[in-house]
Amino acid sequence: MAFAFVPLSWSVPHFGAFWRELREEYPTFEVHPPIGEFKVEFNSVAPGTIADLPVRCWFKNDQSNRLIQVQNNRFFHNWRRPNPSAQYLHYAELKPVFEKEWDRFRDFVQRYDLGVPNVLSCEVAYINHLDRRVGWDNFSDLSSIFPSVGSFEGSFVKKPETIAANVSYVMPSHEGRLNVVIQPAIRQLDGKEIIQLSITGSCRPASSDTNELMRCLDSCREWVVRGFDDLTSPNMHKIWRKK
Amino acid sequence: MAQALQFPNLFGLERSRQDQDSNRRQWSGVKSLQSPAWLKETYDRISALKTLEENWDSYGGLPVAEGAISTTRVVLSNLDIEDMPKPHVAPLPDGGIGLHWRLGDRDVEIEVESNGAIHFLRTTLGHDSTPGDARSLKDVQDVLDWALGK
Repeated sequence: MAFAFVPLSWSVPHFGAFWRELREEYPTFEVHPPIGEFKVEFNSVAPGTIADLPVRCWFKNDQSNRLIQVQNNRFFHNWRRPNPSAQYLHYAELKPVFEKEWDRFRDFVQRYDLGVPNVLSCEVAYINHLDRRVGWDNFSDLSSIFPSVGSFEGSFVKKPETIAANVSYVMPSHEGRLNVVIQPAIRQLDGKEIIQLSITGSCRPASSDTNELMRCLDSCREWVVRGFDDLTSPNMHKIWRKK
Repeated sequence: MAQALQFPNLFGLERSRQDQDSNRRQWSGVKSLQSPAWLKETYDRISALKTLEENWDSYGGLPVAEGAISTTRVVLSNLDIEDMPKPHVAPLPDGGIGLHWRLGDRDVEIEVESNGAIHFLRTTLGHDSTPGDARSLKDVQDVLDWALGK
């Protein structure tokens, strides 16, 4: 889950100050380049001095299953299953955690006089790894997973080696979009071949009021779940023990 | 007064930026099977080595070990190999897998043993070869970077 907002006057020291408040629950951090377009600003009065350094910080919890990401115009809370036998956390369990962390972030921003986050977009993303030989086998035939995907086979070009897709759908009120990305990939942890299915619902809230933001997240999540059900095959639902 | 240095979109395509963003959002790392273009073919070649039976080389060669296959896959998925040409993939008599690249007068062999240990041999044609043990993926990356003249 994520919010994108109008850039704050957030600078490098704020990452440290914010981490101090999280550190008990999120004891480790990583520094990454930001998401979206970014620029490095140099101070022309003091040449060679960087006025603004684009950075995104990860703050990870002890179990390494929850992650907070912060940059000057985005806030994320991610959850991942640390191992296949671990309990799956559903949206209903994760949303209150996100709301709590967002409140903590917003409170920090206000205390440090960084402004009030003016939220432009709410986002719910599900990333699924579909292991090869678990319900599907061939990268050139994705119809066993996604019945609506065609064969892309012609009389001259024959069978494709791989198929990837990037599809977007407009939500009826035009307040958002559902983005579906199907990508043949290798999981770097174990080198296994997978199809990575990323489904992201994003929409623009009418205001930055918490109730409105949570309503938008619910709307995004509904699109993600219904999109997933629509686009994936009943056979795969059975395999994933999906009712 | 601040001057802004906009980072150029080196890929030239908006789609690429979206893909980059998508990858940056990832927590569990993945590598596209479509880049470099030869990766899928090489993966298939590595998988096909599973079918080799004992004495596949008529000199008592061992079947390729599952550990060698999985380690080779992990290695390939974690290296920066975008600029590398397709490697030659070959089984090794002791159950390991060899990857071989030749770039100009530089030659690199990476050997993954059946227990997952990795060794390399780098050679400038006409000169002696330099062997080594790779203790980390960085060691393997350094050898490939050497082959590319980086």
